[in-house]
Amino acid sequence: MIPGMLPAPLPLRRRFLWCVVAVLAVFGVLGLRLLYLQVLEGSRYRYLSENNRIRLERVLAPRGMILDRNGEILAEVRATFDALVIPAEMPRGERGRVYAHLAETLQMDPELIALVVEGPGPARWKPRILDRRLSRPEMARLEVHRLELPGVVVQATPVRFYPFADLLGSVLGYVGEISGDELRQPAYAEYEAGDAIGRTGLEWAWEGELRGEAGGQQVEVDVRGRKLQVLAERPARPGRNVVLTIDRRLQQAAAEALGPAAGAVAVVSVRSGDVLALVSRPSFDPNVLARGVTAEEWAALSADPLHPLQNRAMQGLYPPASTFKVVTALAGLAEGVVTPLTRVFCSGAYTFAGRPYRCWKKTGHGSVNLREALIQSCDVYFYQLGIDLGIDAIHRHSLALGLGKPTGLDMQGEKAGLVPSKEWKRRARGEPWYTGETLSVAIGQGYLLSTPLQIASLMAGVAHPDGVRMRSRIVSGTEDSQGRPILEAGRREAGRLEYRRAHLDLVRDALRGVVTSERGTGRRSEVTDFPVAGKTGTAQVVKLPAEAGLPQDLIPREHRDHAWFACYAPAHDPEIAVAVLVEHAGEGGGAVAAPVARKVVEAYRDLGSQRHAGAKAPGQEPRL
Amino acid sequence: MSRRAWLGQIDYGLVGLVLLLSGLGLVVLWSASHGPDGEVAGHAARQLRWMAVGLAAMLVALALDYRHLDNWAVALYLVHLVLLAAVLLAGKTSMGAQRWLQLGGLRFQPSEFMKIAMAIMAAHVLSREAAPPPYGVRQIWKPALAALVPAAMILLQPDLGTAVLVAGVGGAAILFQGLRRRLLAVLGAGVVALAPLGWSMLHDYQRQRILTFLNPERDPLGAGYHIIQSKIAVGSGQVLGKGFLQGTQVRLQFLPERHTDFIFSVLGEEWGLAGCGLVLLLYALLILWGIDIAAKAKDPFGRLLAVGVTSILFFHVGVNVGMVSGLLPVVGVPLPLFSYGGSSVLTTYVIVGILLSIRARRFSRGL
Repeated sequence: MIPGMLPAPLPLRRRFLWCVVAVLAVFGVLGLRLLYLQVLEGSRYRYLSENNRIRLERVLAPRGMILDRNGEILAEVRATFDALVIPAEMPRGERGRVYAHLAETLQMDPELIALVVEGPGPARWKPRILDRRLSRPEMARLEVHRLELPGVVVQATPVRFYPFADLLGSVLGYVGEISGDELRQPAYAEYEAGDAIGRTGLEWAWEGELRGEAGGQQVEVDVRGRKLQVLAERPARPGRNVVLTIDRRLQQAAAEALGPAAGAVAVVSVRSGDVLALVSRPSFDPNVLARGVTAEEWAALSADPLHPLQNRAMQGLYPPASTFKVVTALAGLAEGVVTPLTRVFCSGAYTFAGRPYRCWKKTGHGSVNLREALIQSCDVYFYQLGIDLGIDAIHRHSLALGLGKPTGLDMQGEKAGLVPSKEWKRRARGEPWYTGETLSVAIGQGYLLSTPLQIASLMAGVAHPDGVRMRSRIVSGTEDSQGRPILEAGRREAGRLEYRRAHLDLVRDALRGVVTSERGTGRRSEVTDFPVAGKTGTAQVVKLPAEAGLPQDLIPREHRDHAWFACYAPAHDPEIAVAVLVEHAGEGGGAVAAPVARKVVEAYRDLGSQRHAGAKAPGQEPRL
Repeated sequence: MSRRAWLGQIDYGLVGLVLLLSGLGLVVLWSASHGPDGEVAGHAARQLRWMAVGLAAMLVALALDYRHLDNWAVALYLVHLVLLAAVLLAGKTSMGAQRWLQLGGLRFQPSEFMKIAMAIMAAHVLSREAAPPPYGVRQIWKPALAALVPAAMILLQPDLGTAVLVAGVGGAAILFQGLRRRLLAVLGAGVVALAPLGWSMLHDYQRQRILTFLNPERDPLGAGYHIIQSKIAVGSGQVLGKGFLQGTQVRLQFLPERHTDFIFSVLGEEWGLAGCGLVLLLYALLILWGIDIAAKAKDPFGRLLAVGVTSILFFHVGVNVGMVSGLLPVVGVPLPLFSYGGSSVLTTYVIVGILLSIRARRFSRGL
C-alpha cells in the first residue's frame, strides 16, 4: 500500500493547538471563578469572614474501660481538674491582687503565676494552664473565690485510672500522650495533639476498640475567638469496653501468694483456655505512667535490672526444668521406647560418652519405673529415656504439646519460647547436634526455653479429660459503653493430644503422686478438698564450675536456680492449671514454688464463682 | 554535537519560573503554618529541605538522557505496580487508608511516583504504535489497560484523587494522539452510562464528599465545613487581599488543613485576586512551557513524555484550585510547590527535570 493512501494523520500543529485551548479553557474557568468569589461576591465573603462566628471544635471520646470477668473495673477514665487562666480576661489593674490570691489558694509561687499570665504564649484569649490535677480542697477554694479571681477557669481533663495500681501492670499496659512524631504519620491521622494512646499491653493491643471516635461541635465564637454557644453537635462515640477472662480476685490472691519474690504465676482454665490470672512480679503502677513521667523516672523504670515492665508470665523465657519431664514421659510412651514397667537403675549419676551426668539426688533413686521417676523427679531415668528417644522425637512431641510457639493470647508480645532440634541447631548455631545435649533437654535444661503461660497451658492440655489443648485467651469480648456486647471472642482448640488414654492416665496418676506420695517432690502443694496433681522443677541458671555443689545461699542471687511448680486441680475433674515460677529462689520448686501454687488453688477453691462462670459459657467446650 | 552539549542547552527560563513558584509557595506556607498556637510551625522549614532534595533530583533527571526512560519504561512501571501491591498488602494491618510504604527509615507514597511512571509508560507504548492517528480501539486498548490497572489499585487504598489522576495521565496521552470521532462518542456515552456503577463502587465517605459538594449544608461539621470556610477565605481576600499574615480565617483557625490541600485559600485570603491571578498565570505559563517543549521535541517518545508529565501538573493545579474554590468536590489533591508534603515536592521537581532533559536534547542525535 502506498503511504499516501492512508488517511492523513491529524497534523501535529493542530494537536498542540488543542492542548493550548484546553489549558486556556481550564485556567479561564478558574480565573472566572476567582473573579466571581473575590470581586462579585467579595464584599459578602469579607463580611462573612469578619463576622465568622462558627468554628469547629473536637469533642473527645471517653476511652473504654477494661473489665475483669466479673465486671470489676481494671481501667477506667476519671476526671482530674486543671486550673486555667485566660490572660485577656484578667483586668490589668487587679493582677497583683489576683496573683497573691491565687498563690495562696494553689500554693504556687506568685512570680510563676505572673510568668504564665504575662509570658509569651498563644493568643491572649486562649486559656493557659496554671496548675494541673487540683486537689479537692484546692478546687473548693477556687470555686468559693470565683468572683475575686477573674480570668481563672477550672477545667475537667480525663485521665486514665487503674484502681488496682500495679496488680496488672504489664497485662494492662498504660496510655501516654501521642508524640509529635506519631502525629506526622498517616496511620495516626485520626489523632490530635494531647490525645491519649495505648503504649503497651492490652491498652496498646486493643487501642482501636478502646479509643472510640471523637465528635465535633459547631460553636459560635466572638471576634476574639471566645466560645459563646454550641450550634450543632455530632456526639463522640465512646470507646468500647474490653472484657478480660482474668478474675481480679484470683489475680490478687496469686500476687499475694507469690509475695515479694520476682517471678510469675499463670492460671488458665483447663476447659476453656481462659487465662484467669497472669501475675508478673515485680510490676509497675500504670497510673504513674498515665500521669506522665519524667525522662529520669522512665529511664530508671526501663533500666531496672528486675525488668518491672516485662510480663514474665508471657514474655519471660526460662528452662522448663523438670516440669518438662511430662513431655519426655509422654513421648517415651507414645514412641514405644518405654513401657510403664521399664525400670532404670539410678546410682546418682548417668555416664554417657565417658562423662558423668548427675541426678539431683546424689545418693541415687535405685531402680525406678516411669511413674516413680516422675514422682521423685529422677534425672537418670530421663537421661536414659532422652537418649533412647533422640532429640528430634522430643522436639516433635514438645511442639505437639504446645511448647515452642505462643499459646495464642490475644495481645501482642507473647514469646514463642524455644524447642531445639537438629535442624534448629544447624540453622541457628551452624553446628551439628551433640547427643550429650539431648540429655540436658530430656530433663528440661539445655537450649529449652518456655514461658510460665506455656507451662500452665501444657498442664491444662495434659489435664483436659478429652486431651484437647485450648488456645489461651485473655480477652473474652468487647462491649459498648452501655455494656451491650459487641464482639465475643470465641474459644478455639489449639490441637488434640494424640496419646493413648492409658498413657495419659499413667502420667496423670504420677502427677498426682508427686503431691501425695511419701517421696513426692511436690507435697507442699496439697489442698484439702481440692486434690492437686503437679510437677516440680528447678531450673539451673548458670553452671559455673566454681559454684558446683555449693549450697545455694553461698551463690550470688542472679546465679541461683529458678523454682518451678506446674499443676492442675482438682485431680479427678480438672478445672484449672497453674504454673508458678520463682526467679533465683535459692531452693527447689517443691520448697518455694509449690506452696505458692497451693495458695492459688486454695484461693480458687474458696472463690468458687468462676467455676460457674466457666460452666455457663457457650457450649464450645466439650463436656464428658 | 559533543556528548556534553546538552549542558549549554539548559532552559533557564523554565528553571527560573519553577524557582519563582517555589519561593511564593514557601511564603504562603510560612503564613499558613503561623497559627496562633504554632501547632503546624516548622512546616516551611521542612518544605525548604524537601525542595533542596527536589532540586538535586531535578538535576539528576536533567543529566539523565530521557531516551533511557524509553528502555526502562516497562521495568519502572512494573516496579511501581509491585510497590502499589505492597501498599495494599502491608496496609491490611494498619488503620484507615494506607498510602505509605515504610522502607527502613524512609516513608514514601508509591502512588505519587506512579503518576510519572504512568507518563513514561504511556509515551513508551504510544510512541511504538505504527498506525497513524486518529486511533481506534485496536490502538488504544493497551495504553488504556496500562492506565486503568494502577488506577484501580490506588482506588483500593483508597485514594480517589490520585486514582483519577493516574488514569487521567494515561488518558491525556491517548487523547493527545487523537481518537476517531466515533470512538470518542462511544467512550463519552460509556462514561455517562457507567457513572451509576462507579458511584456504587465508591467508598461511603467518598460518596458523602460528593453529595456534600453538591450541597455543603448537609455536613457542616465535616467536608461541607471545609468548602464553606475555604470559600469565605478566598472570597474575603477580595482584590488585594488582607495582607501577609493578616488572614483571620487562617489566624483564628477556621480553615482546617490550611497547610496542605487548602493552601490556595490562604493565598486567596491574604493576597487576594492579585496574588491568585499571578500564581495562576505562572502555572499557566509553566504548563504552556511544557507543551512548547513537547511541540519542539525531536522524537515521538519525547513529545509524548513531555505531554504526559505536563498533564500531571495541569491536573494538579486544575483539580486543587477547582476544589478550594468550590468548583469540584474535595478529593485531596495537593497544589504543586505550594502544598506541604515531601512526595509532592519531589514529584514536581522530577517532572521539571524530565522536561529540562527533553528540551536540552532537542538537537542531539541518537543515544
